[in-house]
Amino acid sequence: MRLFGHEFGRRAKTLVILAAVLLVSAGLCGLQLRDANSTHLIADAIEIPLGVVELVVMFASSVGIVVVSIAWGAEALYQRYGKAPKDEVQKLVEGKDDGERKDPR
Amino acid sequence: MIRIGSHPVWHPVLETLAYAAGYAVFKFQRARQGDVVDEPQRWTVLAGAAVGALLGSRLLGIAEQWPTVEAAWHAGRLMALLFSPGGKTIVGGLLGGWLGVELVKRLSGIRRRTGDLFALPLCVGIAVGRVGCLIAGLADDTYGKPTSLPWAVDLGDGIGRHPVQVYEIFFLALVGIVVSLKWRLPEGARFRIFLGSYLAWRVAIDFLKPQPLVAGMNVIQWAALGGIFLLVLDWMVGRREQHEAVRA
Repeated sequence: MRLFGHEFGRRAKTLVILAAVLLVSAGLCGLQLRDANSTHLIADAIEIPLGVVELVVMFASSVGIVVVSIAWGAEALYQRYGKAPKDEVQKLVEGKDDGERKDPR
Repeated sequence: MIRIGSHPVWHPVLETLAYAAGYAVFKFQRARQGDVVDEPQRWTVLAGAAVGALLGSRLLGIAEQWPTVEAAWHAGRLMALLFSPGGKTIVGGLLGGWLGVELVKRLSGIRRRTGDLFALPLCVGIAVGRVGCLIAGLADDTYGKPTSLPWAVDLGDGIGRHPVQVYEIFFLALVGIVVSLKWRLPEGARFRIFLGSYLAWRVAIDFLKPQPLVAGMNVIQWAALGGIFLLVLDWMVGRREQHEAVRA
């Protein structure tokens, strides 16, 4: 994947998977909650302990989404402003090689 | 009157099925029709859509239940509320997903219109999810207003109501057919037809739902109207860019 002109392979896939996990775990969490008490109001819902496994998965996937997004943005910014992009470095190296080869001596 | 009752435990099951069905249709369509972008770019778009949809659906869901949020804030339970299930809205998910995709496309320099492949999967996914809303009945806040029509449904309280979820399933079937027809349309038009018609539908159908109103409409209707405005704006900008490109 290209962001700010740089390749980022697996981060997008990870984000999609984490988002799907969060959506499904939130739904299943709701399943337990409604099973325990047939209420539909969030006001009542917050009074009841949620399914522990679903809550842990929800929390972990939420944190994962934030971490991956920040890492993605930070890496993109670093590569854009913090150092010369790989292809430019490569061009410089190739240019130097060409120059050396063309040198008549 | 048709007796259905309320079975809230089925909602999450159908919701999960809806995601799976939508993704299956997306994969099938992509394999059959091809894609305007390559695989890594498609994942970029999907990531923008998924995270945007998550945020949008939750934010609008919370905005819709503002008195509850206020009560949770005063009780010092805002974090518990944010992590509680429910409170997600389709309109928020669509608008958030759309804005997420546009943002990621701008950042990553993707200039093609990528939404057409989402139009039919969204129709299928939302329709499957609405079956869950109907079966969940009164436990889900999407039921209709009372009516004496012969096809009214009784969700367990003995009152005949508009089966608004069934109306929406029929509407989505119609939109699904329209966006699947092999018409020659500009890139991105199918997604815009889906989004525009769904938002307009929600503005109309939500008058049949007993929701708290703000200045004559509920929060979802206002958000849908805002989405239609953005869609028109986007269409006008697109047309201007097209004209300028032709002139140049």
